[in-house]
Amino acid sequence: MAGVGVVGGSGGANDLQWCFSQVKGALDEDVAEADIISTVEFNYSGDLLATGDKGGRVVIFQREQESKNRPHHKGEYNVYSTFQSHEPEFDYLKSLEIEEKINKIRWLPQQNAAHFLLSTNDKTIKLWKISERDKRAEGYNLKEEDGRYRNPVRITTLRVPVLKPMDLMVEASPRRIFANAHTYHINSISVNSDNETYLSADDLRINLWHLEITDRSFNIVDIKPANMEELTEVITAAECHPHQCNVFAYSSSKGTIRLCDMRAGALCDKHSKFFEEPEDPSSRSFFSEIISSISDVKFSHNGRYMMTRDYLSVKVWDVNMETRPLETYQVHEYLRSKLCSLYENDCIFDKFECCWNGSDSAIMTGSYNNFFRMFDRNTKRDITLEASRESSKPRAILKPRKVCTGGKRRKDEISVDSLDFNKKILHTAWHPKENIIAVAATNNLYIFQDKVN
Amino acid sequence: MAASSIPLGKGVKRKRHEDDGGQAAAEYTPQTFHCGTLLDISLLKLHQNCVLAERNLHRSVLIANTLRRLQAEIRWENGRNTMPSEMPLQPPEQLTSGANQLEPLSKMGEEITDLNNNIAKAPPPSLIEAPFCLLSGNDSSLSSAISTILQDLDYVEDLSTPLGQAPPEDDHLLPLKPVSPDPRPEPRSLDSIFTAFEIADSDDFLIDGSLDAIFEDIDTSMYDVPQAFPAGACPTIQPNKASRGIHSAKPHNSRTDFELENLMDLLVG
Repeated sequence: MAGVGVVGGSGGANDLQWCFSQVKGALDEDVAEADIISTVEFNYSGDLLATGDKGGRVVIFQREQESKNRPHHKGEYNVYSTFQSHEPEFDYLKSLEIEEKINKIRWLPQQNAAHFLLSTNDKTIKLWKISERDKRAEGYNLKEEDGRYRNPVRITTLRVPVLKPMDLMVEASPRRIFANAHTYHINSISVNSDNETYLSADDLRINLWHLEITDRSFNIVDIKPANMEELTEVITAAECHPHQCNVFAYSSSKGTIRLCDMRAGALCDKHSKFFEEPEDPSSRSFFSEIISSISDVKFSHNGRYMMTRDYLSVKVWDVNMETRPLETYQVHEYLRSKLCSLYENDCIFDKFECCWNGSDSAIMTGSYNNFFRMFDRNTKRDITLEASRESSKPRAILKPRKVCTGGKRRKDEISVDSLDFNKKILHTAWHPKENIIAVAATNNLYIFQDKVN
Repeated sequence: MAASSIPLGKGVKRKRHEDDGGQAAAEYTPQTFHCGTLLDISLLKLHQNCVLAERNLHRSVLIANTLRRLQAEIRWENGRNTMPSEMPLQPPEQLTSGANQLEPLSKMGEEITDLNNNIAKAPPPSLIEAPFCLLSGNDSSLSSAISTILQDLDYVEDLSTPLGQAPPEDDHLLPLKPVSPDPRPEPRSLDSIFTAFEIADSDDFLIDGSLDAIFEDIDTSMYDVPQAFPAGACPTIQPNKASRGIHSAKPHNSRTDFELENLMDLLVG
């Protein structure tokens, strides 16, 4: 993928164009709250795509093998498994409802025929095993074929059950439940590169777990002050380094990132590196802090960079340079003059995620009006695309969108005041190897792929 | 920034209107009005957050921090208007207007919490050093209103070691913050937003004389201990006060009954 522009533009032989591939989810105008997608994640090979929703369900799509009949048509994603991961709970002591909404899904690297993933709601993390069954045993001695137990007195002969092929059945079973370790809402989980441990982060604490051990975890970061009145900052996201199993990063509501080394001590309250960009005094407002709150942090695949998403921008940091980000990309700067209204209607608290492409040459994040943005780090070009039913014809090329901020509005442009702030794209995912992206628009999952000119 | 709320579109086309280009920062009245509007909005949000079944700490912290800035701004405006001849005040924040570029508060001053013991920054002068702080009745009632609303945002944590937690290693106890004497003149300010709502602290209300009267006819002999204590007072308040703020193991054998009673009162009352 090196050398090929991943962001479509006008002209250029190497430019990519994105086209519609599939859309999953109901077409109704009335969207059930439970169907709203809350997380999207490809597995390590990209063959599986998992989504979690507010109703606590996980739906896994599997990519079909490319067929020789349609060589130009990349494999489609079809439903592979659906299961209820979390149920709503009620904490009677604190009189609090615990939502079943799936906050994050993270796949484990595949080690055998089965697939494993971690899913979490606000309080509990679960390890799920998804396995295929395509054979069943027939010829039991003690049971009839329909499952009824035979009268043992009537059994006069014995036989060995035989394995016979059956229709493929995909089963999801909970293998571990990691509970009771978080007082506050879990916002992140991240599998370590050692494939044995993972971390989970809530507003004030980060815990390190071993995948095999559910009755204890190690607390590695604790920012809860002795006097809660001193609390002014919370943890917003955390991630393990992709290669160094001793390094992890976490972001805060004040726009800072801390890189920690677990070898330094059992409690990583002292950071190894502290990343913060000095505030621009000319743009300070009452909402400066809120919009600087980092909603997502992601290491690049090569581990050399970190990407952070705050309300208005995406920043790429070099892990070796703490003073300022390497690159800053404005996602929707036209919203800066609307912050008061966005504060009033709570949109300013929306948590957008961001993702890298497989070669770390491009980044993607969502916006409002079902727009999502892609930035090419090499060509410095960016593009705004829309996930909409209107442009959902098979292999239809997505037209770049533009928001008009002032002056004359061109024919295809949309003005800021016409944006639909209820249609927000918070969750996006990029296939780890190919130019296939999954974009969650409320209750619909859009899959787009490239079409090289 | 326009003071009136701009209803955000739901995909309906509308005519573009000219922006004001921001309000002049020097104008006092619109800014105060704007602060007042933001204050109302923020307080309402905080209250809603506590009422909602799902309490969002992240959101509350952000709103509370915004409230602090607003309160500091209002205080500064009050001080500026009532004592014009005093020493030049350091304005805590200014709404962006593009017109004025004031000396920015040093980034240092914004950090109040000693997070991770790495950032030792001075508290903002507008909140701590308050020689110019003229607290009108509105301001102090605002502070206590915020405190009251946010008081129970802290989750009451299990005092016993939870099932999922490994006991912390000896050389890495949770960082302790010494209970420093409150230098602020006002008894209860915006800084007490997240007052710890540990079970230990809730024993305080037992000292209140008015409550003693309610429980006068209740036989408390089962709670009596060899030491002499005033009627109604928790016998173990003194040792608890000394240990307040420390998260490690507390003696709770003799206090279990009180804990449960207090907890039931909180849940029911």
